Amino acid sequence: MKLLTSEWRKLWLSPSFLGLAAALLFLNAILLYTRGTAGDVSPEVWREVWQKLSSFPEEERAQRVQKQYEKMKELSFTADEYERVQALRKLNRQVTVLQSYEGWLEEIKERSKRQEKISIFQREDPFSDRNARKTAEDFADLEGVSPVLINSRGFLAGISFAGTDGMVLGLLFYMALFWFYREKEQGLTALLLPQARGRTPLAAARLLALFLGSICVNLTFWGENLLLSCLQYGAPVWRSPIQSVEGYENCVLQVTVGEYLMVFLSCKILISFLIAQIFVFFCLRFRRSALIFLAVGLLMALSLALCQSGDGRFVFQYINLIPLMQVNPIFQTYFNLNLFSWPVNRIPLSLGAVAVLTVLFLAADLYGFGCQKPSSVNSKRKRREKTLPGLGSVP
Amino acid sequence: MKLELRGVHKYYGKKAALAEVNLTLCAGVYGLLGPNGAGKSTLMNIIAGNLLPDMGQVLFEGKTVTGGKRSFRKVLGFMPQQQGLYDYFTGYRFLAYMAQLKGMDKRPAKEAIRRVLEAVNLTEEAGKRLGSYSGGMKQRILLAQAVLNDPKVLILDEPTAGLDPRERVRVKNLISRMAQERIVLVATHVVSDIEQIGRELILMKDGRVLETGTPRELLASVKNKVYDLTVTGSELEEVRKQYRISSAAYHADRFLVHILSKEEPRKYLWQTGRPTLEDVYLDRFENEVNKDETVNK
Repeated sequence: MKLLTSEWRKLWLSPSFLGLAAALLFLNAILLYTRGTAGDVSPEVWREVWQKLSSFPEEERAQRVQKQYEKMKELSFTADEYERVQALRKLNRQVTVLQSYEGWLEEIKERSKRQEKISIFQREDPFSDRNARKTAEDFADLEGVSPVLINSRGFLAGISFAGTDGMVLGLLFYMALFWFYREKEQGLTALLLPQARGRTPLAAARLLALFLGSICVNLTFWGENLLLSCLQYGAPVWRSPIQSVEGYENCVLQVTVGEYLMVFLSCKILISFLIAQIFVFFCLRFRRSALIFLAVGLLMALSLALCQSGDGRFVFQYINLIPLMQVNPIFQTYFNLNLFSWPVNRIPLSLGAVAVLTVLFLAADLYGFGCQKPSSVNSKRKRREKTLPGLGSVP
Repeated sequence: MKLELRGVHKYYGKKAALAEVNLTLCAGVYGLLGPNGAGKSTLMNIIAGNLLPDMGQVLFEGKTVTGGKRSFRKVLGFMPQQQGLYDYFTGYRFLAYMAQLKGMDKRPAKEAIRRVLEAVNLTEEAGKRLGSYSGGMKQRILLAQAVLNDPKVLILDEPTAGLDPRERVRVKNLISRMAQERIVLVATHVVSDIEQIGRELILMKDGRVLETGTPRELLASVKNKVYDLTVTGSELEEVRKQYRISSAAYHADRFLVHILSKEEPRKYLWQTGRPTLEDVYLDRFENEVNKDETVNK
């Protein structure tokens, strides 16, 4: 714990880290606030529409939306009223989806029964058969779940801004460089590694500090996003089923909106920690910062290429860094991947991959830290001939 | 207590940084002398576990500690050469951090920090940031962290570099005090640092141990090669071309020149000189003649 506190303190004493964190937090807020709403409903109109809707009891709101929309869509309207009509259109669409939810669940059950009958005589496509059955089983637990019409726009805006992912990873990359590369560059590893606790215990303390960093950074940035978005568009009803959120009707999790937020943040923390460990791996392997940046760039490019490859059935389209980092696509839409004709749901596959990779990289980083060599003795000697000794320092 | 190096080799590509190094060190101060590129720092980093030898072993008390086994690192104090520091730490905080890395408990660490700060004369500056320290102060704080845990084996790479004469004496005294029941290995270019306190000197060149011996033995080996000349300014240039000059001082219109020579320099006003370890250093490491000089026959 003492080592952890010392390592954490080292980071927070670094003015460049504080400056970078503050700058990114500010940038995140600005970008989120000014995120384009061209062709979309402005926050002010949305809040106004919801304010009126909230004056009605929850069970009446869906009807009110439909009535109001039917009334307004036929009329000619001014530019001011256009956004209100757009808002009502979106809400009406949401109402339609929610009203058909029960029927949709029933259809999944029926499809499974139909597939069972067919499969007795025709076993040509075992995956379809198994997939239909598995889908019905997975959605059976959602019987009795009644999604309701809620104001989910703020919630969605708060958890889906891709720029925040970039900033979170940027800060974690800085931390990885700070703890695992900069000291090597400054020749400090020659001082630290020969200490009794200078290898595995120090590496463990730093990786734990990195994990705490992942928690702090994610909570801060996504907290900022949610706060600003909910202020702009209004907050959701946190105890509503997640299926009430626009776009999450297909979600198989039996959680409320508030509970989904916990799942979302937990996954963000774990996955960004995994990516940070990959950064650490590069920092320990390469002596030059240019190579580290290159490796990170290639990794992201590879991930992007994998995302766009395949026909939607290629496993690594889904099990790679960028879709994992986004988190929401993992849970938002129920999806089974075909692994040797067996349906495997994307959620356990993704989380399992994250867990396995985390353990692997943890082991690699702990081992790699202890095996580091200090900066070349010869290059240090050449610098000494030009300068006075003992003047290198960590900024 | 014994620290051994057996058949240690280290290669960087095809170049042998260390070749067949065999050493046995017991309690006392050992001076490691050699020119740049001799392999001193490589040897020290191998003992400290920062580098792995390509062949050979490092043993402490008969047990292999090659690569820096934890049991050895607990009793090791290491001061690397030309070391970076944490600018934003105060001297005290830096030592507290190093105490944590050495696995020291809080109370003993506090007492040890107070003691070492006093030993290196940095008590007054302990509250200041390391970024504000001079080069000499940084050397002293590095020495302080090396002795913090009262190590049994102390490896010091150029501990007096950048220190003024008063501080050098202080450091030499500290090293001398530590040498009781400890193994202290000091790499240095400044032979006078080790001359008076060294139990044994290890001379290295091109990755090999040339020879080892007590200061007395090494001085005896150059006893009949050292001369003091009194020459004029015009003669000095001739002397430079013919002999290896250890030192030259101007005094009362003449130059007093301390040289190394296989034969008596009868051409000049000479007398037998008192050998120093600098003479030993010159004799062993500067056998080649500069292209501007002629060989003394």
